[in-house]
Amino acid sequence: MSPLMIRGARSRRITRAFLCLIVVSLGTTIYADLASLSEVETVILKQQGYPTSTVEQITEATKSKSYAIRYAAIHLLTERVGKAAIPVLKEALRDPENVSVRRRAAQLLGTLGDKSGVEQMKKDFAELRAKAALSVPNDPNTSDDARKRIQDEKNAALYDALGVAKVLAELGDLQGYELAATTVFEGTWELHRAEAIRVLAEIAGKDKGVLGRHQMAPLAVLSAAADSEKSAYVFSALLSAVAKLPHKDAISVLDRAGKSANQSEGKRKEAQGVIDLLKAKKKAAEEPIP
Amino acid sequence: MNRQSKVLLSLCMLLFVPPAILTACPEDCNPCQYWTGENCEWICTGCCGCSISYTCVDVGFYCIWEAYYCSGCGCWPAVVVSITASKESPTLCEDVTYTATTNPPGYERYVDWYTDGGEPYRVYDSNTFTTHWRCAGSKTVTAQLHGGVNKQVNVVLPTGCSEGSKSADLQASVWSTEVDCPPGPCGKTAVLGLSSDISAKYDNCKWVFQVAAHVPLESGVCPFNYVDISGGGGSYVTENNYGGIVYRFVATSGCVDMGSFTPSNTECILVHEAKHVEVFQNEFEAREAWLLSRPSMSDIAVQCSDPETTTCQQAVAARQTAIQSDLTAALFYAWEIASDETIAEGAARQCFSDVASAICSYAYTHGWKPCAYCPN
Repeated sequence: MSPLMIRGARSRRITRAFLCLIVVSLGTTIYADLASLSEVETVILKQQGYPTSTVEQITEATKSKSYAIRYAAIHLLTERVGKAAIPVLKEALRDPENVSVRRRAAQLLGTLGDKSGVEQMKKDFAELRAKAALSVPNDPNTSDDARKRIQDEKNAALYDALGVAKVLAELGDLQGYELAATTVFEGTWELHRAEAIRVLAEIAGKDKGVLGRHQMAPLAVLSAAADSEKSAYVFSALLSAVAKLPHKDAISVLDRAGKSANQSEGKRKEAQGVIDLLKAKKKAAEEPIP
Repeated sequence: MNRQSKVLLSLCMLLFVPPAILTACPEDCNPCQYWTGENCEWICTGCCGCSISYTCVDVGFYCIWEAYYCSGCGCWPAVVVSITASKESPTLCEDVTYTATTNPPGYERYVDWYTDGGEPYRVYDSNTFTTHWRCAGSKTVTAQLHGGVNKQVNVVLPTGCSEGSKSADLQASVWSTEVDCPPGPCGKTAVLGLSSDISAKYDNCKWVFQVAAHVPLESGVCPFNYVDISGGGGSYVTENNYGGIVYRFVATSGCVDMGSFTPSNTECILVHEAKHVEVFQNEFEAREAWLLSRPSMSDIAVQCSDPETTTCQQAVAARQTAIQSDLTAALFYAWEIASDETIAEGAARQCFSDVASAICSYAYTHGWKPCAYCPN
C-alpha cells in the first residue's frame, strides 16, 4: 500500500469518525416497543379485579387464592419497592400450593442479591425430578385413563423441574444440567425441549472453567440441538436463548442453526438475521461510533 | 271358593283322576291323591289344595311357589306384561321409578329388577324399582318374573350439556393496529386482556374440560414518534446525518433518536412488531400441552352422590377458578419468554438493511462523504 493510499484510508476513517460522531452521539435512547411483563401483569390483574395502583393493593394481591395472581403480584411488588419486598418474597418461597410462585420468589430474591431461595429450589428440583422419572404402570389393572393421568403428571413435573433448574442456574447452582441436556433431545413436549435449551443457555453463560471441572458442555449440546431440532418453535427458542450468550459462543451455535437441514429456509434465514444483528452490534460496540 | 274355581276343580278331577281311584282308592292314598297302581300321586300337584283331613276341598286354591297362579288345575307362572316409567328420558343421576304390571295382576310384588350400570342396579321382589345412572346412553331395565320384560331407556345429558373431548386452544391475535403509544417507541405490541371460554363436556361417564382462551393484542406503529425514512433522500436525510441514520438502521433496533428526530421505517417497524406477535402467539400456543396436563384440567367422573359432578355447569363451577389461574399463568409465562428483542430485531434487520442500502446508494450517487456502516 502506498503512503498516499494509507493517507487516503486514514483520511476516510477520520471522516467516517467525524460524521458518525456528529450524528450518533446526539442521542442513543432506546425505547421498548414491547410492553414489559409488569405492564402485562398490571393489565391482567386489573382485569381480574386486582388493582395495583398502591403498594398495599399489590401486597393484598400477593395473598390471592389464585397462584397466577400471587406469581404476578410478587414481581410487581419487587419492581415497586425493591428490597422492601424481601419479607413477602421469603413468604412466597414457602408457597404451599404452587412451585411457580416459589420459583419466582427465589428468582426475584436472586435479583435483589439474596440467594436464600437456593435451598428451596434444590428441594423442589429433587422432588420434581423424581416425579418426572416415575414410570407409567404397564399392568393390565391400570386403566388407560390412569396411565394418561400419570403421564400428564410426569410431563408437568418435568416442565416444572426445568423451570426450577433454570432458576438454580441463575443462582449459580448447575445441578439441572444433566436433566436439561437429556431433555433437549428426548423431551416429548416442544415446551420441554425449549425450556431445556433455556436452562443450557443459562449454564453456558457460566465460567468455562467451572463447566469444564464439572464435565459440562452446554455449548456442544446446544450446537447439536441446533442441528437436530425439527420443531420451528423450539428452533426459535434456541435462537433467542443462544443470542444472549457471549458473542463468540452465540455465533458458533447460530452458525450451525443457520445451516440446519431440519429447518425451513425461512427459519434458517431467521437464524441468519440474528447472526447479522449480533455481528452488527458487536461491530458497533467495538467501533463505538468512530 | 268362587264358582269358577269349583268348576275347575271338578274338571280337574274328571280329567286327571284315574277310574281306579274313583272306585277304590288304596287306603294309603288320601282323597287328594290317586293310585297309580304302584303309589299315590297328588292330584294337581302344587295347585289344588287339600284340607288337613285330606279331603279334597274346593277352597284355598293356591300354588306352592310364589308368583304362580292356579288355572285349570295347574300352576302357571305369572308374568310381567309391561313396565311404566315415571320419566321416559331421565338425565344423568336423575331418579326414575319403574312400575311393573303382571298377568294376572297382583303378582307385582314378586318382580325382580335389573339394569346395567344403574344405582342401584338390582332390586328383588318389588313392584317398583327406583334407580338412576351416572352414564348417559341407552340402557335396559329388565323386570323379571318367570321370564323378563325389557324396557329401553335413554339417559340424556342435563340441559345445556353436550358431548365432547378434552381440549385447550390458546390463541392470541392483533385486535388493534391503532396503538396507544407512549412517547418514544416507533412501534408497540401490548396485551389488551385475556378472555376465556371454559366448558365441561361429557365423555364416557365423566366431564372433560374444553378451554378456549384468547389474548387480544394491540400492535402497530407509533407514527408520531418517528420520521419515516423510506430510502433515498427526503428532506430529513442530509449529507451530515445520513451516516447516523444508516448506523441506526444496521446496528440498532432501527428506532433510536438523533436528538432532533428519530429516523425509522414504517414497513420495517411492522416487520419487527409482527415478529413480537408471532413469538408470543407461538409461546402462548405451546402452553396448550402444559395446560392439558394441569390438575385443573383433569377429568371429573360423574358421581351421583356428589352434586358437584352431576351437571356440566357444576363441573365448570368447580374448576373455573383453577383453570382461570392456569390460563393467566400461561399468559405470563409466554409473555416473559417472548419479551425478547433479539428475534424481532433479527427479523426486521434485512428490511432496515435494505433501507440503509438505498440511503447509501443515494449518498453515493450524490457524492456525499462515505460512512463506515454503508454496505460495500
